[in-house]
Amino acid sequence: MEQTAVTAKQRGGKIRTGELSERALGLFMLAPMAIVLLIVIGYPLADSFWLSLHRANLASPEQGQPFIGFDNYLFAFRQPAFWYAIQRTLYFTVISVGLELALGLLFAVLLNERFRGNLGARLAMILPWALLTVANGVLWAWILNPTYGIFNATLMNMGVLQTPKSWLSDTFWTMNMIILADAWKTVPNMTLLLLAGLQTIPSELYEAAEIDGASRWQKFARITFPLLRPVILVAVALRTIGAFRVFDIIYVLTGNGGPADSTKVISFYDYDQAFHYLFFGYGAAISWLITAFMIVLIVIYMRLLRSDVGP
Amino acid sequence: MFGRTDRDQAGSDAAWGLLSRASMSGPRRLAALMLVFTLLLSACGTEAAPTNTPVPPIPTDTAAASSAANDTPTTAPAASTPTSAPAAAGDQVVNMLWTDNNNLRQPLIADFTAATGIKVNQVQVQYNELLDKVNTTVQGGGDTDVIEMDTIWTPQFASAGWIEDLTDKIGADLKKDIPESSLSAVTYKGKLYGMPWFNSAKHLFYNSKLLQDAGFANPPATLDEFVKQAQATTKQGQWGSVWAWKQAEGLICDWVAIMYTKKGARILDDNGKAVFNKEGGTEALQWMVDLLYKYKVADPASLEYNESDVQKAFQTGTYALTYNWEGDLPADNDPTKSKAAPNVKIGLLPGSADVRSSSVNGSEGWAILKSAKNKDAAWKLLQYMASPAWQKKAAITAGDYPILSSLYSDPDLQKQVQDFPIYGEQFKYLAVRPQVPGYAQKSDIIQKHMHEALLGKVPPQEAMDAAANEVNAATSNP
Repeated sequence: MEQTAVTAKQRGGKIRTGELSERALGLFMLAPMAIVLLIVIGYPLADSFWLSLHRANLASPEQGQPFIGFDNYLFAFRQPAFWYAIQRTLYFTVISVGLELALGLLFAVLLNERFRGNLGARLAMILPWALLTVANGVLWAWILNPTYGIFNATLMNMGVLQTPKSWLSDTFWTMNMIILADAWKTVPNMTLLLLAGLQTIPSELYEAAEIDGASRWQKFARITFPLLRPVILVAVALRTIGAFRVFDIIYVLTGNGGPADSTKVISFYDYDQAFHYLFFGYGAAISWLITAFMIVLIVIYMRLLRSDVGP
Repeated sequence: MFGRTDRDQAGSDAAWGLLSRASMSGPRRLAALMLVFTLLLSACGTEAAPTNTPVPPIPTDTAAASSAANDTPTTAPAASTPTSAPAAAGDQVVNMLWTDNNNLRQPLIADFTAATGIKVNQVQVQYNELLDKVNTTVQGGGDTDVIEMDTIWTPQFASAGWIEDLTDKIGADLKKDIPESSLSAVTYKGKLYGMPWFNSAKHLFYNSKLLQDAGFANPPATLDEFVKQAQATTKQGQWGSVWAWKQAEGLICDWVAIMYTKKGARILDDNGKAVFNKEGGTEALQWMVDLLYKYKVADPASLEYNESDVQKAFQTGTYALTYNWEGDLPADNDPTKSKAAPNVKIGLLPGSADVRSSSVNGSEGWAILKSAKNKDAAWKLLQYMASPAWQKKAAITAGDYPILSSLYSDPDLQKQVQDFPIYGEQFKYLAVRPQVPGYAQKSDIIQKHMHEALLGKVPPQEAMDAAANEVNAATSNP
């Protein structure tokens, strides 16, 4: 401490102190916001971590809330239901993000072309994104209803189905229908990000390629895709994080993560433990595990992104 | 659980809760979730354990508090306000937490105040928020005296020491007109912890035209007859039966009702150990699976339907038989809403050779919190709610099915509700879902394994064994 003070003085003089006071003023002006953030974000975060180290079963107050170290975390690792929820979450994430990327890329490339009605097409594209997830869920519940839903009616009129199918009572179809419903709403998000990326690609590159006689596919594979990669990575990262936390659409379409827990993703599992069974300590531990999973994902993406800069 | 209140509101509540949640986006939602998480916790955690929440002595003269309490609007979140309502003579107050969302029972509260001079301050929440609200009220030490209590919460509230034991207060004179099955909703370990409010149970709904066309004059009296009638009414574009067998509490309700057609069926033994896999549960599940796959007389969509979906399906007029909660009949026989009108009738749920009928209890009751400051006034309110004055008027104005047997032969009520005496009869044959703390978790475990069997992935015996093992292990959770 003393030494640094001395060196500061030695180097110092008046400019240094002036800088310091300016910095102090800055800190002083930032302080209210910093304190508010600390109270509303820092404290709850710290408190929820502290809670995750306790057995806190609100339904059994006679147990008290003893400190149990990392037992909640270890308990989670021993639960087949926890791993099943992780597995279902990964399935949802991989399939839905993959589907969204494929469709998003297709639509973005199409919308990047000049054609009549482009603006209208862009608007129509964005519309589903404006919908609330819950409203989207209710909408799809109606579409998929086995008795009077339009999905079954269409398939039966086309002759694909002979009798109505109950889509949401099948462990395979329920999750995939949820992915479809989710993709319908989130593809616009992906499209928009990719479209923005496409528009930063200089048109000279395409002109030069055309002069060299490149085909459409060659232009896409050699120009569009490489230059779009950073944007794709960002878009995929954002969607992965969103998909990993999926909850509301599943809640609306299945109510309880059914059939037979096949759509009980990790957020749903966490919700059940904390708010349904009142295992608050365990619930807090699960939400920290979810956070940890996401940090891992983010780090991977950031690595990929960094190695990708400057193509 | 799953009384009328729940069924009517569950959908919209869920939607509203989620709408507000969904309107936040991206990482903010996570932050908010964590915030809610921890704020809730810090609110509850730092307080002393509720079993010994200090109850300050009742103040004799607190004019300020009195006026504050009187000013409290009926829907104000008074649970967390520190005002204590005084119990001074002549100015008695009772604070209660319940779900009279459509205000249909407000005239009854006015009647009570007129009759006793006791003012009632109310906090009203949606049914789906009620359990959370009770939790925070108890943990946070609010000034609530009386709470609405669903049958499946009784064990949790009682074992946690949150509510008063009313065994000595509910005497023989009160009990003589209330059937044992209604009292069971508020009973835990042989003691009465509340006053029944209304009766609720699953009933048999049948389309009398479809049954008559198939040659049946009467609805099925046993499960075997149910299968026969369902077989005869299943044909192209028409199903013999439809069920609320989505993975949810309603699935447990039907399973329990079916299980108790076997005399001596048990879910738990006397030590609270799950024995349903050996004592009736497997047969019941087998019967359910057979309806789907062996007899093929249950619409496969049953596995994604809840009770209101079933009602809508039944109203298409293409289903002969179903189990559902009371209160559906007026809409089912309303030609503007239902193609099945006017042919829908109710009957007793099927029984067996040994058991006349078997349904499941979905009733709700009232309880007085241990921390209540106005226990005398609260008790008077509970007494009034169980009286014919309240029970009859509530049946007329709010459609609450009375807890008093005698009211089912009341001519006024018989005029109001089609087949009213049948409900009264059904309420005598009610099975009770396990009255154990931690019920929600155990129910979820059973639901999951039942669904695996109903999807044809696991044989019923295997599913029930796995469910019983997991339920027995659930007590050692974190």
